[in-house]
Amino acid sequence: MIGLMAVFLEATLLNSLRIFNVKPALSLLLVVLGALNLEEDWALGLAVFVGLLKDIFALKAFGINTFFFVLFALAAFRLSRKISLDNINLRLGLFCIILILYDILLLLVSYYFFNFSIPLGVALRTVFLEALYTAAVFPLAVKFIR
Amino acid sequence: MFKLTKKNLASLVIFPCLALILSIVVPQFRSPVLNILKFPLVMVSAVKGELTALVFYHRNSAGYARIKKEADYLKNKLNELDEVYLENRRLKGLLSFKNTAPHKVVAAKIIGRSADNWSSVVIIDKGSSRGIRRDMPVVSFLGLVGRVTETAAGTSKVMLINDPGLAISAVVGRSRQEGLIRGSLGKNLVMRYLPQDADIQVTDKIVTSGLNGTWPKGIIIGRVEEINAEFSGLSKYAIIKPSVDLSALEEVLVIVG
Repeated sequence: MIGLMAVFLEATLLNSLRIFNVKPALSLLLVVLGALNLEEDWALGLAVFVGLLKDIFALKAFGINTFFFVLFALAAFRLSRKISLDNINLRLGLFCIILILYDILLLLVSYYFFNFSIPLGVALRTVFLEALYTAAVFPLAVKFIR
Repeated sequence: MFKLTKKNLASLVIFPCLALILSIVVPQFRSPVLNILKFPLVMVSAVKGELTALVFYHRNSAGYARIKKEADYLKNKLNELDEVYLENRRLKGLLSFKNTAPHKVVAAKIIGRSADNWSSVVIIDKGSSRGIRRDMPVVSFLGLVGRVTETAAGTSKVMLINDPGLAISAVVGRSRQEGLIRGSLGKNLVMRYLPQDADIQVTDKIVTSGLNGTWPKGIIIGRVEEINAEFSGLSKYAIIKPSVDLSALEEVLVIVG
């Protein structure tokens, strides 16, 4: 239900809260928080569900988001079992790294396989603003999900 | 850091593979699910519309007064243009010119937008059941909006003109100088492949050329905001401000015939 809500928000209401044409990545935030708080099977299930939903709304090749969401959920889950990520700042740091990696990988895959190219300046601006904006709503999202 | 046990290996391989196979095997999954999600999307966008109306009550009220004045002025203009249109038809008849048929359009409401920051896509509440097909041009009363990229029975996806995946063959209205327009996810568009001596000026109107057959000829795209030389120095590019405010778009018209 929360997964559905996150993707719905991204597709509707959050468009009114865009800053420099960028909105927070709520769905990935949910997937990472799920990986840090849920059991492995549930976390991966959530990642598949949210990824599929996001792919339905996206224009690029179906499955890119599902694939990356599962990959990052798995990585976050494994990392959380190896090192302690109880501190909210550590979680925020991990999430920002994942978000930047996700954006870069998405851009590279889109560029090499789907001939999608945008100016480097626009790409960098979007990547960093998205990370900053999502980091700003991170504490709120954590509270809401708890 | 990670021990490669059998269970780890299974999770590492099976889940991404499952996601990948799912994405390859069921791409048709997208349209039916989007159809199912149509109703909640319509509800959420209606709530969003009501909230915006309440929050911006005073601004809307002032805007209404201004638009009413404009409407009166435009009604007057329309009456004048009716006369010109009739005269034009008479003269065309005298010269045996072929009259171009007006486009058949389907009006649609925007019920959603792309969920990511890397594409400029809107979801509209009309689909193949209303005759909308892939690659059909989408306009508003102010100008070009985009192109239909996917259709389901009750919904369609429209790629907006500021998406980098869309290229539009365009001409400068005044000088008929050709160029190619592409989006860059921002508010403005970029018109490239203009020769050094291209006859283009700031405030020039840019319209579709109709050359590649995707868009009808003469649909207004926007106006020139800035002209610069390319890095190579061999050609120029122009920054175009779209005539349609793509971020505040609520209704569109799909040209179906």
